[in-house]
Amino acid sequence: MAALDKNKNMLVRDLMNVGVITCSTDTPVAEATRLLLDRDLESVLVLDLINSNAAGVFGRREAIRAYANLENAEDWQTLTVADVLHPDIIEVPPDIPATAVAQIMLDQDTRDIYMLHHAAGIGWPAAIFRFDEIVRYLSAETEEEIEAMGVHAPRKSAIEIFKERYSTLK
Amino acid sequence: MTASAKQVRDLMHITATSCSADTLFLEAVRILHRNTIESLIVLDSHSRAIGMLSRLEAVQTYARSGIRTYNFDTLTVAEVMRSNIPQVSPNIPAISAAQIMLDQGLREIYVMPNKDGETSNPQPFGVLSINKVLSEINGVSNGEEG
Repeated sequence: MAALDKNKNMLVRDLMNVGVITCSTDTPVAEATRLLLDRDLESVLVLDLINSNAAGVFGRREAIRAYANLENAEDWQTLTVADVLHPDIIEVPPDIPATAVAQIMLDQDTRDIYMLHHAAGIGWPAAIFRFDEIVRYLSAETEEEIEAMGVHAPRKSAIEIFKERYSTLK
Repeated sequence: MTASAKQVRDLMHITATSCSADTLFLEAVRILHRNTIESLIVLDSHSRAIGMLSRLEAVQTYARSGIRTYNFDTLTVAEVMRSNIPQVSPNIPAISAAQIMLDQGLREIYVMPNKDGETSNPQPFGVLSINKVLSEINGVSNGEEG
């Protein structure tokens, strides 16, 4: 079996996961924390109740800090995600090298980076690039494992999608 | 007892997965991925802890591969491991240990024997994970304490 070349230039889109797990700003912190634990997630994207705009991130860091700052442990039950979310959502485009985004994650001390689709002033969750996907990629031993991650999956270019949608020219 | 009153010794687990310094880096990463664990303790031939390889070091190595070419076929754990093992005392509050982990970008921290009377580089006797602390917070606060 030929060894895989892990020095290949992967793009974020090769390793990202399309689809994002979310909660809303009024979700109780206890419930959101349960979601993190049950799904083994680092974070979830928090959506605004009014227009579903991406309002921030709630992750293990926010949960621990929220609990550490409580005067009474019982107050955990009354906290909502809106009280403790991290409002800065670090975004990257999907077509830059995955190694560069890995460095951004390290520099920003985050393990999840989101890709949002912005339309009409609203940031819609589109995809996520996770620390664990890098580990999964490094651990892959066969081309089949790499392909199962969606790496180098055929994707239409932006101009091809545009033509399909708006052109009558074949 | 509330989660904030629990100490590291109350929540740590006592098994730590280990590898040797000459284990191939990619093999060590496979152990992390396939066992869904955060880190490996690196032991020398005398079973003394000499370093740690976690998902953080794996991603650091991957990030560096963007500006320098590694020979991943021969790269060993010794070349990329963290030699100062992040560690806490078993006698501090678990919530404080969790904050130490977050400050260092970690999701697990090792519990080492007190240094008095011990040889240097002792073997850790426990591991505390962020998830264990979060589970305790949620379990206790949801009235699930046994």
